[in-house]
This record gives sequence, structure tokens and C-alpha cells, in this order.
Amino acid sequence: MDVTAEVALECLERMVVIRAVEEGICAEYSNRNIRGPVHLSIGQEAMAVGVLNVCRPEDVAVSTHRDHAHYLAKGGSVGAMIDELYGLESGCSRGYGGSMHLFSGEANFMGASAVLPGSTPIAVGLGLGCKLDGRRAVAVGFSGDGASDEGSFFEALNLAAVLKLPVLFVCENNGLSTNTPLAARQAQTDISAKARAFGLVAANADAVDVFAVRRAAAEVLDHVRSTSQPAVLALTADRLCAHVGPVSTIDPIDTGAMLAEAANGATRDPIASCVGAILRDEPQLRGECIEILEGVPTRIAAEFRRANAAFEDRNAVAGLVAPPPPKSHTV
Amino acid sequence: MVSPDTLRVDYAGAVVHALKQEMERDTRVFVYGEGINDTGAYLNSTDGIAARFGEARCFDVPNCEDALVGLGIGSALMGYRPVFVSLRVDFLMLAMNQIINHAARWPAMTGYQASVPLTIRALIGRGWGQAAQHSGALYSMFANVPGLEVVLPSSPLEGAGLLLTALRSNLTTIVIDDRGVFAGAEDVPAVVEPIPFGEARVARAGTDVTFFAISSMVSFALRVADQVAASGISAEVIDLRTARPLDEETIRSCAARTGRVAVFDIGWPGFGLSAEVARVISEASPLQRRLLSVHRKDEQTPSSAFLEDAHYPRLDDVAQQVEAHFS
Ligand SMILES: Cc1ncc(C[n+]2csc(CCOP(=O)(O)OP(=O)(O)O)c2C)c(N)n1
Ligand SMILES: [Mg+2]
Repeated sequence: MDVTAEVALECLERMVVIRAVEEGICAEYSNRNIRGPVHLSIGQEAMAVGVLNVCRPEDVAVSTHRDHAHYLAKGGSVGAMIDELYGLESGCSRGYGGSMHLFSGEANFMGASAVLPGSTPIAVGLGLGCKLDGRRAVAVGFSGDGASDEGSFFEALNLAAVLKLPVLFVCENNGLSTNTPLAARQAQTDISAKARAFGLVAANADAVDVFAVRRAAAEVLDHVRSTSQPAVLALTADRLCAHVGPVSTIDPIDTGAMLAEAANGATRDPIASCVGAILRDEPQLRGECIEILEGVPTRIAAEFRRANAAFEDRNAVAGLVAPPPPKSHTV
Repeated sequence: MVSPDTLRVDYAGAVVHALKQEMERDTRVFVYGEGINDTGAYLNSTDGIAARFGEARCFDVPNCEDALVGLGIGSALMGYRPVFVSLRVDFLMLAMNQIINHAARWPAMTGYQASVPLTIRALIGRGWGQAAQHSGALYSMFANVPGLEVVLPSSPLEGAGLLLTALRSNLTTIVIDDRGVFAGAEDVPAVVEPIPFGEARVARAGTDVTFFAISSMVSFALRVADQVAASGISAEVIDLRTARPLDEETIRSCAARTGRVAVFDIGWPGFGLSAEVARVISEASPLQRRLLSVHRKDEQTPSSAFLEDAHYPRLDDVAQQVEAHFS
């Protein structure tokens, strides 16, 4: 670990917040008060957390359909996000956006697009705004590997490079677009190589290790900030959940199981990997780790209960009948 | 003698004049487009902007329309007021994802917390053998979309005032410049006043028939009106100015007064201006009541179950509407 104990615990806590919110979604979804598609980030939390942990509050970010982790890692309110999932006016997008369009003006999380690669060109415009503001802020555009099948993704890279704009394009490669593997969609699967061909600086990191992401992000961000030139950060990790819908392929956080998994050097769970790194280098932080693993999910479960009750109250007036569960979550 | 408080300018001159006025007043406004600083670019309608404000506020860009609209959206989200100049409306077809899925929808998707004050100017290459791919009007595609404003100026004076309103609007506004309006000159005030959207203008008074027209078809309608006057037909000509918002009130009242209507569109007939005018009139006329349009709300779809429920037509509501409308 090349970070202070404080930063290490901050990263762990943020990842556990994201995981606990999504586990909450999985647990609550069958009650049918959360009515809309959900794209979970389980397995991919270290991407958002590693990058945004080294960003500044004044940096601005945009995301995709899979935006929960980015919103939460940028500092978006947990309660307002959960309210948004329940379609409440108190939601972070006032009930208009839902899971795929979270927004937080205070956190400089500028929103998310669910049409590929829609937010990537917008990130370029945010970069122009940062440059015109002259405050050395940076725009961060998150996208999946699937977005880089699209032509306008590369228009955006080229435009940012030629206009010399401070944009960090974070390409989250989970190897899948829905369920189609990257190799079936792209002949050249190295996104960094393509970025370099467009004249951008590019770096890679394996995003099972949040600290490796953080290190790589700090380096490229420094370049973007000091030169006002864009860069690409290509991250790889496994999506440990379905493309869409409340389906995780790993068990909910359990402290004992997590501590055991933390000892597994080959784990693909970024939270276990983070706990493992902390306990290896700073074994005295064991108590703090356990407190996070146990405390955070409890607090977040309470947020779900509050939002669910607010939904029920609202629906006592509106009288909506719960629709039948979708036949398939794949669309 | 030209009085000092007006300028005699053609459409391009009027646009440049309004743009300079606003760029002077509001430093958040900037302009960009492909080849924008070439001599005579966009029929001279960006002449002298870079010289006056510098290339940081009037800059050339690569040929990537989708990303260029994204550039505008992102900077608009940060409070700037970008103006994207597209040499043809046809080229905007490459940017439909950003224009419709993003510029028009971003405010709604954030619960109207964010706004996208972007202006897009695009030219219709009417005439001079420009053929199919450089002469498209295509404005009704945009006018269909809630969240956008679609502006169709008919003259230099109109061009200046409507552009000023576009630059000050908090919505994404598409200003369609038909090459047909670039020819004549007109007196434009030294200090341009904004012309509000959704307020039609009487271009010619008349009593027998109302001509509703937009863009270059306004002057065409005026010439038709002059010609039919010889046969004793007194035609009123209304410049609708904006397709979205549409001045439905004026359409209804003029149609009620003259009882006869002709529509002068710059585009194709299908799903165009005449259908829209006919809908407004048929739904409103207390004598006719022959048409009721059943549709989703004229807004971008919200996510919340509560809001979504009110967005789509509801059986009981529509049944009630039908009873009220046709009984
Ligand atoms: C233009 C467009 N085409 C197709 C889709 C359907 N779609 C939604 S998510 C998705 C997968 C995208 O994969 P990727 O960009 O790698 O993101 P991930 O879901 O893996 O996070 C697809 C194809 C879409 N939203 N937009
Ligand atoms: Mg993917």
C-alpha cells in the first residue's frame, strides 16, 4: 500500500457504501417499489473509487447507465440516490432520472447517459468548461468498453486532443457489452493503443486493486491537470453481477467470509482485495475494517427502510398497482 | 440618409451584428464550427467575430458533428453559452444522438436541475443545384422533440432578434437559416431587441384567407398575397417565427377570423407544418370538433412510477376527453 491509513480506510469505506447500496437494491427489488432497470457495479467498485479518490471536489464527472458507483464515489448523497430509485421527489434527480440518470450539482456529478457513448462527447464539453473557467479543474468521463465500439467515442478523443482539453476518459473494461465479449466486437482490443494512436496519453490498471487504480489515476490526472491535455485510463475488472437487474453473482458482505476472502491473493472482489492489502501492511487496522464492513450495511439498510416507507406513503395517495415483474432484465 | 440608430444589413450582417452585441454583453457566449473562420464562411454570417473577440471565442473544429454537439452540451452544463454553427442542416443528422438524446433530454433527466443553453445554427442550402444532401429542411424532426426550441427567421430583422433570444434561452435552440433569406437587406436597430419565441407576427394584413408561413416562405407568401390581391382575394400573412414553441393562440384566432387557411412550409408535407396547423385548428374549433389528438405528454419521459403514470395516456382520462370533445 502506498497510501496513508486514512486514505486506505476512506477507499474501503466508499467501496463498501457502493456495495451495500447495491445489495440493498437486490434485497428490496422483489418488493416492486423500486420500479426501473438497475445496472449494478458489483466487482467494479474500485474503478470509480480509485479514480475519484484522487480527484478534487471541483472536478466534474459524467457517467453511463452503470452510474451508481460514480455518483457515490464523487460524493453524491446516499439517501437522495435511494430516494431516486424509489421515484420520490426527494431523489437526486427529483424522480425524473432513475437509476440510469443520477445527478448531483453539489458533488459536480453532472449526470449520466444511457445511450452509448453519449456522455463521452459531453465530457469533452465539460473539459472545455474547465479550461475556460481557468481553475485547473478536470473533467472525468466514465464509459464502458462497449462505448468504444461506437464511432463518436473516437470523435470525442480526437476533439479533446486537438483542442487540448483537460479530460480524463476512464474506460471501464469489464470485457462485456451486455453479454457479448470484447473480442467478438473489436479486432484491436487494446483501448490504450487506440488512444495513443489518437495522440492521447494512456495508462492501464487492473481494477481489482483500488490502490493500483488510485496510483495510475493520480499519474494521468497530474498530466491532464498540468498540461491541459486529455488522457485515457483503461481499467479492467470483472462484473460480478448481471448486466442489468438485481442479480449479484457473489454473496452479500459478511465480515467473516470477507476476512477469509481477503487472504486469497487471487480474489476478483475489489473489497476483499482492499481489506487484504490493508491487513497485510497495517494489521492494526483490523478493527476499523470490521467496523466498516459491519456498520455501513446497517446504516444503508436503514436508508432503504426510510425510502420504502416514503414510497408507501406516497402510493397510499397515488394508488399505483405494482406492475408484474419484468419477464427479463436483459433489456 | 441612414439614421444613426439603425443599420442597413442583409441577413448575414444582421446575424453578425446580434452576435457581436451579445458576445460583448455576455462573455460566456462563444462560437465554433467547421471552417468558421474561412473568408466568407457560412455565407458571411460569422465575419469579423474572431477578429473582434479572438479565436478563443470563435474557433475552427474538426468534422465530428456528434462530438461537436457534445462539446456544446458539456460546456453549457458548466454555464457557458456555446453557439455551434453547422454549414448544413443535413450535417446535423450525424449529431442526432447528442441533439435529441442528450441536449433535449439532459434537463429532464436531472429533474430540471441542469440546463443546456446551447444554440445551433444550421443552414438550408436552398437553390443553386445543391441537390438532395445539401438542401434538406428537416426542421420538423427537431420540432417534434420536447426540450428543443426551433427557430425559423424570415428576414434580417427577424434573424437578429430571434438569434438574441436563442443566445439568452436556457434551452437548446436550433436556428434554421434558409439560404432564401440571405438575399435582401433591411434596417436593423443599432441595439437589437430580443424577439420572444412563440409569438407570431402579422407580416401582411388581410381578411379573406390566412397564410401561415415560416422562414423563406414568408416572403414567398407575401408575393403570392400580392398576386392574388389582383383577383380580389385579401390574404393575411402570418410569420410563425418558431415551430417550437408554436403560437397556437394566433393560429386559432386567425383561422377563426378568416375561416380559410393556407400553410407555406419550407419542407415536405408529411408530418409537417400543415398537419400541425390543421391539428391546432381542428381541435380548437367549437363548431368542428372533428379531431382529438391522443398522445403522451409533450415532455421528456420521467422515470418515477408516479410521474410516468401521468406521462402516458390513461384509459379513463381519454374516455372522458372523448366524451367532452365530441358530445
Ligand atoms: C447506442 C446504444 N446501443 C445499444 C445500447 C444497449 N446497451 C445498453 S448497455 C449496453 C452494454 C454497454 O457495454 P459497456 O459500454 O461495456 O458498459 P457496461 O454495461 O459493460 O458497463 C448496451 C449495448 C445502448 N444503450 N445504446
Ligand atoms: Mg462493458
